[in-house]
Amino acid sequence: MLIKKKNSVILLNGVFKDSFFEILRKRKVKKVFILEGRPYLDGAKEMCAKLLKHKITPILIADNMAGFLFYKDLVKEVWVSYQETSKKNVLCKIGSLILGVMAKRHKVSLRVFPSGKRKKYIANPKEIFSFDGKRIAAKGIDGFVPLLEDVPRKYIKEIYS
Amino acid sequence: MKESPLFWPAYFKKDILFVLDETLIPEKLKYIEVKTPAQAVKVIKDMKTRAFGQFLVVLSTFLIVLKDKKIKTDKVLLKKLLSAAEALNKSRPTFPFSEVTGMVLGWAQKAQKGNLDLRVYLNRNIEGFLLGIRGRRLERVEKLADTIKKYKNILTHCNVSGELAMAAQICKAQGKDIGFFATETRPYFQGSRLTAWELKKAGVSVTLVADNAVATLLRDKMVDAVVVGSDRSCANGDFANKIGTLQIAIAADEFDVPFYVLTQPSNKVKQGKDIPIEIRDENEILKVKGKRFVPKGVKGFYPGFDVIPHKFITKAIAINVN
Repeated sequence: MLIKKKNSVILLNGVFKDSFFEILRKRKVKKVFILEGRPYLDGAKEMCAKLLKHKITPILIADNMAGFLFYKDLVKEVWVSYQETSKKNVLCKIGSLILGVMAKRHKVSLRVFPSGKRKKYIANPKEIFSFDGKRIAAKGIDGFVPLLEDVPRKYIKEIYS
Repeated sequence: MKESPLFWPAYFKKDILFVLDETLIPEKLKYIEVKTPAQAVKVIKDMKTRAFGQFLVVLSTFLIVLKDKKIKTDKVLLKKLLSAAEALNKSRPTFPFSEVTGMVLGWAQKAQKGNLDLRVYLNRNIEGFLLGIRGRRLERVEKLADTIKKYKNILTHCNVSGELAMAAQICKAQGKDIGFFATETRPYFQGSRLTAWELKKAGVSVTLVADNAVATLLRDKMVDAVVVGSDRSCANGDFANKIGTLQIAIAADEFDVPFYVLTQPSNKVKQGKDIPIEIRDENEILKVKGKRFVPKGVKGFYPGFDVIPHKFITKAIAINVN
């Protein structure tokens, strides 16, 4: 499914509080891009299920594909989930910092919305060695699995609470 | 220096081409028997081999045709070579296979004009070309080792067909232990399966990260350089590589981390935006190992490659084309 430039859509990263869907409803959003959300695939599973329940079609992309969407001007706005705010930063779902950088460079707004559930900062390395329960990685290696990252406020257009 | 199986992932034995099935690594090291051009196209389309392996298979496909003893005349041989070239050119749109097939067909024309033995001339040229490529790739491994030896931790994406693992071994032999971070590289996990596997086999430290963790690594200076390969280069220095490369390049630029790319210089395409990008089947995103992992109703979008503007490159480590 290739989306044409004139039909650029919202890009989501994370699982959001249910009140987020009211915003999408008011904007009459029919489809969104969503990142799969490694390692737990919460974007691909939980958030996609919620979107479908609200009659919004999720278009799933892998976490490494957002750059292509920006390159092709297919993103009109970015929303990411966050857990905490501080004076300089917002603690967001992992993958949000790169979205913030690209959004800023492409003059696309990035908005942050509270997360539907709290996460720890870092997961067990073994979480990256499998995908949906299936082992995919070579044996004997290390893993580094941050689940959250600080996004400086300079990349953020609006913080919802 | 021990050669990675990914450095030269195909070979001939008794007129049959054996192609490393990279989709089975790290569980198995198994080679697929390829006896016809149609089978060669299939291993490329199905991504059983990738990156340099694809170019090796493209050139070897002509050797398969040349070894076919059922072909008795030059006229039929030429027809078969042309048909193989057409099928290979169409197999994956982002790759410049026509540059390779055009070169072989050019040799065939030259042989005809010069009244030379077509089979002998083409065999000699293709095998000579492959030997030359092998030597130049080994030279590039040395250049890569020279470049990376000053860094402590390097981020890489996808897989650079054995060259990074071999360069790491050179550095290690010189007493320079480099740590590597490999992105898992969805949806085919080339980082988790191939890069992590070959770096581990090479005796160097490797840490796997999700594709979404790269900005944190770069911002927090957990890595001090990025090294990636390239699938196609343009005259202006832009290049195409595995999906995910562009956002790494942008983040490296944002956080002032040097970004290196292994390239094969080419002037056939002027700039990156002229490279056609292959959009693959959405099921390759929605399923893993044949099983769908997302709810019914979810759509997928899978661009196979990114185009990276040359402004993001700190230095291109090029294969010597002279």
